[in-house]
Amino acid sequence: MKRKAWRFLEDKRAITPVLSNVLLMVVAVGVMAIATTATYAITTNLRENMSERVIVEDVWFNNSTGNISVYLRNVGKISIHVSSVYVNHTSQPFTNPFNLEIGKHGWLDISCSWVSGSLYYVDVVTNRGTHVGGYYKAP
Amino acid sequence: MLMLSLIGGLMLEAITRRLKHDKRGVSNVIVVMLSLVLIVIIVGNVVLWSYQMNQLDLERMQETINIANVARITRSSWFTVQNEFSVSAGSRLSGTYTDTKFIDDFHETFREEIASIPYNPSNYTLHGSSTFISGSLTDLQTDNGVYMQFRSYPSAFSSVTETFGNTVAGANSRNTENTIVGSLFTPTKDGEAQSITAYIRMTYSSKNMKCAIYLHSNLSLVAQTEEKTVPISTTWITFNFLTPKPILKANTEYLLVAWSSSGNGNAYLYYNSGTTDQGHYVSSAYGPNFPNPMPNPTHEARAYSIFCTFKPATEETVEVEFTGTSSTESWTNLTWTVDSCFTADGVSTTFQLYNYQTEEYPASGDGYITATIGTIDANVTQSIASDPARFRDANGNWKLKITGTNAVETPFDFKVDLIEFTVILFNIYRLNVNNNLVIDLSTYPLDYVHGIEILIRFNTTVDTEKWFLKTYNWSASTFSDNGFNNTAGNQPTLNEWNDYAINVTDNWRSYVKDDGTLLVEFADEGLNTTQAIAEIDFLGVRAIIDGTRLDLKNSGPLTTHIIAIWITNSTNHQRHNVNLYINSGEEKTYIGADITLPKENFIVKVVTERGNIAIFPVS
Repeated sequence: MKRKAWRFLEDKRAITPVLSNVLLMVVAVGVMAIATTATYAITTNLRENMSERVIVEDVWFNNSTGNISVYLRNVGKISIHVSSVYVNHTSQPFTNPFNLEIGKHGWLDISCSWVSGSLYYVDVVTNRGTHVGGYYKAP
Repeated sequence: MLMLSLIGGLMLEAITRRLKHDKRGVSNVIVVMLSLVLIVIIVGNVVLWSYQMNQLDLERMQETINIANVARITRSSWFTVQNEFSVSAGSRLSGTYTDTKFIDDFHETFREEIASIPYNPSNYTLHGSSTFISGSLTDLQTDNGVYMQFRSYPSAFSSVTETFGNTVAGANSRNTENTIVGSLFTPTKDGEAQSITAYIRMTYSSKNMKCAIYLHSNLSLVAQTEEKTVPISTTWITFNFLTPKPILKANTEYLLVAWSSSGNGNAYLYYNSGTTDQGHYVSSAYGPNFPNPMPNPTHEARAYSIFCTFKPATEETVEVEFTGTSSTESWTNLTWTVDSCFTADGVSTTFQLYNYQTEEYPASGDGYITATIGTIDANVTQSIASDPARFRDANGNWKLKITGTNAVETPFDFKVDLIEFTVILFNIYRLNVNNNLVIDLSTYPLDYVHGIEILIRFNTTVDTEKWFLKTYNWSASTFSDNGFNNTAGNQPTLNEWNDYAINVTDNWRSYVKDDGTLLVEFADEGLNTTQAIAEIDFLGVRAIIDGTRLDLKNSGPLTTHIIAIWITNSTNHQRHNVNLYINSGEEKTYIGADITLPKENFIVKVVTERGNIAIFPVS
């Protein structure tokens, strides 16, 4: 045993291969860690986008306020945040911030004047890019 | 799959070959494999998630809910009896309560009987110094161990006097001129106060003084003594109480005080040290009467040299008079019953029913019972067959006095469980049945109920009298028809079913308990000298509402969960939360007592949990 240890210390030829192997391993682990993190980040984003489901329960062309109110309900599996609202493809101000947790619902008030009998395309967009809306005729 | 297996096999073979030739690459391969495993797990998670969301979308697409009809409803469904009828007059011949749940060929049959009508007290009066302790008159309606309680007062006193207070002449003193001064003391026995004695030093001139007793709990004046002109001296002075002398209760804190007019010199009341806050004094200009209640006094740790002489009680008495109402018809018999006990043993008790002919409580015979009663319930009863009407006045009022006397020094309580005054009417047949009806508050919350409607369908063999519906008024604790649209009763037609319906839109809430229970009574007018048989085919109650009925159908292959109903028109968009499950292929009716429909032109929408909406326009 003592002799083997002495031989190991005397023989310097194995140091270079060991160092190279260690370095290679570090590089491999690093690269794969980056790859794994990137994959996780990308797939998380993908999963969140897939999980968004919002429905419009009601659209109210409100005579008393002069605004358009949209009743939204989050039927998906992730909370949503409304980032933009378009009426006839024109961005409109609304009650911002408007967030809905899973299963929650509420009125989204859009500050937009309307004319009785006209057709409006209301488009609500979340911060993840989900669109919900449709054509609604003002009474 | 075959391709993947082939590729995997080749990769494994290549890796094995390389490992055989180059063992330095083993670690790198393991690292790469682990990373691949991680990536596979993450990607697999995404794929699984995608599958779940697709499943959700698929279910949503498959869900089909339809609104078949929407209608305004003004009445709930009928709620019928759930237990057998209670018969307080008459008897049950055949059938059961289940026969009264539907309008059909089945009915429950009752028969009128010679009426025995029980009455209970509707009021009470305390006599002597008896005091009310607890309970209510409703506790006297049943012999159930729930009592109405009253406390005795001392009614006879010893000839030997005792004292309570500080009988020691103190070393220090406080001036009582225009100042009420005294200390707290507690007697251990009931008794009649005779006098108050105080150790007083009067200087320079004589002055008028008097003493008093205050009840410490509320500083109310119990009684004051005679006034005396106290000469210049240092001595015990006794001030007597005038008749009627005050009654003192054992173990009650009393404030014994002295009060002097002003003049030359002082009118000192002596004291020695007492317990914390035992001493009380307050400035008050001397006058003919002590202030009542005592103005807010200042406290000090002094026991003033003042005491009360009293005659301890040798007898305690409790005396209560109960009054009630009854019928004015002819009676063949009167039975009166009292179930009661005391908190002391051996109480001599007298029960007396007032005789309106002699205008006094009898001392023997009919209307008079004596008994010695202790701590165990005793039931005393007497039946009067001879001229029972003398124990009521022209309006049917009666009164009953109970007196309990015991030779003790401390008070006791009288506990009365039941007082009943039962009369049997002369040649009059009566029927009186009642039963509980319960409105389903989960469907028809009381906040959305505007009234109640009661329907009875019955038939009788005698048509010479009317029949009445009444409902128990939970606030007034009596059956009533106050607020009914029809209080005149129903005159039946022989040999056919008679529908007698009443509705209550005012004051209806008094008739419905918070849990939706109504107690409905069905009774005859009380005129029949011929014994009648009454058949009840149906008895029910329903709520008067302004609600909505939706007929829904689930045509899809999945169970659907309705979570909201929208009622929208040009002026209002109203959402109502709902929790209704409909199985696949099932038709269901939803009653919304809280949903009021607009008059015209509106849209009803039903929203499911998955996000589908069914629409029903009404114009």
